[in-house]
Amino acid sequence: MAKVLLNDCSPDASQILTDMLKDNAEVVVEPFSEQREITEFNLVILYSESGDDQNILRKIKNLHFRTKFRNIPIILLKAKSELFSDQPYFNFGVSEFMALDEPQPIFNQILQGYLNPGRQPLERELIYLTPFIESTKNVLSKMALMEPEFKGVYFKNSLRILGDVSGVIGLSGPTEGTVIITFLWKLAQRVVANIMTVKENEINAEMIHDGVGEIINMISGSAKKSLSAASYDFQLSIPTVIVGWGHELGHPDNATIAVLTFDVGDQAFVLHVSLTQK
Amino acid sequence: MENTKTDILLISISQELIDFVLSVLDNEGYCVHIASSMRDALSAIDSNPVGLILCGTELEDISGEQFLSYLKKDPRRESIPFIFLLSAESQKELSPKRAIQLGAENFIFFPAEGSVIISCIMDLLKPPQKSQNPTSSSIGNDSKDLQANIIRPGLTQSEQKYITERRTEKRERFDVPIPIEISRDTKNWIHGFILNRGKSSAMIETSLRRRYGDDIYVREPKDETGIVVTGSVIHVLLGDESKQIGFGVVFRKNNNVLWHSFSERLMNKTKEQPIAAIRRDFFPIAAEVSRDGIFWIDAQITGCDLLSASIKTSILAKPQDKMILKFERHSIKNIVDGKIKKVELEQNEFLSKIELDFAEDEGWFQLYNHFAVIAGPESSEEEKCENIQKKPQPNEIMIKSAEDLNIKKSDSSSSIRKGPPLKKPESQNKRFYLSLIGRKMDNYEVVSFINAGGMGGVFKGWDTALERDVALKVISWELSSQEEFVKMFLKEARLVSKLNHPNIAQIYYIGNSNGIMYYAMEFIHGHTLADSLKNNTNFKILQIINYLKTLCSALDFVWKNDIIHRDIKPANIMVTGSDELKLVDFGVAKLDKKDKMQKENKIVGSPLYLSPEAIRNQEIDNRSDIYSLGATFYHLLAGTPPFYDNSCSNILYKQLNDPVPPLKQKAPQVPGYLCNIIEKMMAKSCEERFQNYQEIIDCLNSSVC
Repeated sequence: MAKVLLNDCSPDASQILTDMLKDNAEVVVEPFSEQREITEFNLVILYSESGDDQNILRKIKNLHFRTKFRNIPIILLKAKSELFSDQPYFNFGVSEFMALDEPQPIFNQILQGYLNPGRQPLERELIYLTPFIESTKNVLSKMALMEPEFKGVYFKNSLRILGDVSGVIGLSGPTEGTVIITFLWKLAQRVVANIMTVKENEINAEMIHDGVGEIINMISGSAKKSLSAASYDFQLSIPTVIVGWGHELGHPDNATIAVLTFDVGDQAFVLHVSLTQK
Repeated sequence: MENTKTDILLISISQELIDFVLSVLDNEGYCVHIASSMRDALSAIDSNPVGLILCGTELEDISGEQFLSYLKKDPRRESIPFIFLLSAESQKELSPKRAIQLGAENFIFFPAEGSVIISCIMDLLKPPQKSQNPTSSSIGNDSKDLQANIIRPGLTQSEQKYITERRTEKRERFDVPIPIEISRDTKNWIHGFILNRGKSSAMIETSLRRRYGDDIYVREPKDETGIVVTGSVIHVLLGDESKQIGFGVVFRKNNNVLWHSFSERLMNKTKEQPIAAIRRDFFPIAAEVSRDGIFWIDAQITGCDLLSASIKTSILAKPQDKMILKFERHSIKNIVDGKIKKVELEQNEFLSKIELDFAEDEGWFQLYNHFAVIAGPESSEEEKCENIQKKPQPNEIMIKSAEDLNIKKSDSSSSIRKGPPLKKPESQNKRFYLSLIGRKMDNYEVVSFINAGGMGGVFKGWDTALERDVALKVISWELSSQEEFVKMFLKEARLVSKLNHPNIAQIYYIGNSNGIMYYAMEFIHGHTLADSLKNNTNFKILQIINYLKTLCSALDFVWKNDIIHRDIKPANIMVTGSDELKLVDFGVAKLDKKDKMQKENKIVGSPLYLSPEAIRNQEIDNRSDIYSLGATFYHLLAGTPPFYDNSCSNILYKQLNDPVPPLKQKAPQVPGYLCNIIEKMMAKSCEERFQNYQEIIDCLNSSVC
């Protein structure tokens, strides 16, 4: 049975959600806590009545940190629909923004949509995902002297990057797509410091830029060799490094976006792989 | 064919060459226009009766070779004779042989004698009568004063007089274009800029489209005085690829004085204000930026002026770096090169606020103009948001209830839908569909989203049990929350699943996963006829006849199983890789029986293809599908639907009342018998239509034989 965490919910909101989810989910109602382990949950719903946006955004970001890039949708729930843009919430990591005054059928259907179990990669997807998993582990172990542990793969509907720094590389040719590695700042500093053999506190933005760009270049280059044997041919673009939180990249229509999650000690990073064969 | 045009366009970047050729042509009495760039040259061709082009090997923006290739691909300009002006040095880049291969009529080597030039020209352009008073005009070249008159055959005396006056009028050009507002009806005002002005005329750059002779109203931006000057368009200014970028305006006699004082005041005002004063700060406009032109990152434009823009993006960059900005919306697609002036990190240190300088890219001016329009000070926040949202397409609208439908000829503001605005359920549906991507529903894995229609969203799925691709159709939350619809859907979907026909996409399974209703059906590798229409595919008549016969046979099979499809349209007909047709989407199909379900108070279908009896919510049978099939094939043959309007209610009004526009007029290549068949399929009264599909097939067979 799925597990749902309700944070900061008013009694009314808790009641409505519990009634709605009781048939297919175990619901835990708690006040928001910055230390709470949330990786055991399948869905987190954060309720907010106040208009203190900075505080809400801070909580969303904190929740996202604690998901460790796992497939745990965060839904922001408000009492009433708002006319202003919900974009900032999405940029900070919510998967969905909902209001209690929305029609109940849609409210229910969206919740149920997120509660459906995540799908497993198809055999044909594993053909191109496996080389990326292997090359990520190899590159980080050889270049950064770290042993990343592959934790799993899930698929999502947009290329929104929720991390501090990302290295992006475009693939073109008979196979096209995008590969993106995303780190939180602290881990990026550690990885780049190890690669450049300097101390972490000596790392500056320029070094992060060069280091992360080089990592994604090496991962993609190494995977390219294995993939060309599996008839996935492509050319690599020059890597681009993005620093920021919650930005969305374009990707081909109908393309699947696989998110490969890795743990390094108590920290995590992800590799987004979106490939389509022409 | 005889060349009836009289003028010569001389294109070169060499002033020496221009002076020499001009002196030769002036002596012979030719009217010559001069240009040095492609943009000026195209503008001259479109504004003057240019009968011959003399062109050097290099223009300011492209090479002469590229310019000639461009002209030869343009049906409106390809017939203008073209002579290359070559020199010994330029031969390395362009040989005479290559010039002729490209389509040039002749070439002249320089240095050349005047008599050689004239003899080459006389072969291609009739010499002017000696009574004419020759002159030359310069476009984009301020050094040439326009002194003499131009006499052109075929113009009335007053037109001759006007052209003479306009050409001889002294014009004042501005380094910084003067912002104004213009309108065609004094209600909606659009931003524009005065590029130059005369005593009674002006050249205005704007995105407003106007044609020769149209009236135009000009006023001051943020007008407080109430002064509006009226004029007429007398010249259309064209930019790259012949897109209209502005026009010349002449102000009426009684407005001349008003214009003069008006433009004086505007000029004085602009002089007082530095450029920064016309800076605009507005709600963020979404765009993309790149450092290499390959990889694009989202950005938000938060303000701009004539030379620069403020953007917010996450791309890492430093001052003096090159950055490319791409904006693609509202049919405007522009890519402009900029240089970073200043970088500021936002408070959270993840977003950079960048000041980009576009002084070196002329394309920025067009974008600035466009932003000025969508971020105009007079529009409210809501209007601004609407400006950047797509309008719903009429063929995507689903009509909810017959009671909501007011079948009267109405203006486009009338709405069929009552209650909340249309965009809300649409966005809710989209949110719902997005929540399913990467999830599992029973035995089916939701791989990717394909599209959404009025009835539901379609996904590409994978059947884990049978290991095959499937198409998953998830019913929209609106419909699945109506019990009556769900019952009807289940009942009819069961029936449709039994339809076993090579041209009908099979339904494999109907399911309900966590309250989400869906069905799995055959996944077809191919495209829809709607895609073909979008791509302007040219169908062969025989191919269309075969398609029609195939669909008639498939629909005959459906009808004989007591089912009516009710949503026949190009988007529901798929063409496989082997050119086979598949009829899809029986989501709103219904039983052709008079049971309780028959009398529902809903109209479903696509207005562009809906039969009159379906619109009136009368009982329908297979003849309603015949009408929709006729409308679909009308669209395929004519390239446009039989009835079209921006307003859904107007389309329905036309479906009910207007006669079908003769297909032969829209598509003369279609044989008469096929036009007659399609028009009979679309008869208003079902009694006058074909009564069954076999009749159509028989009629097609007998006509083709």
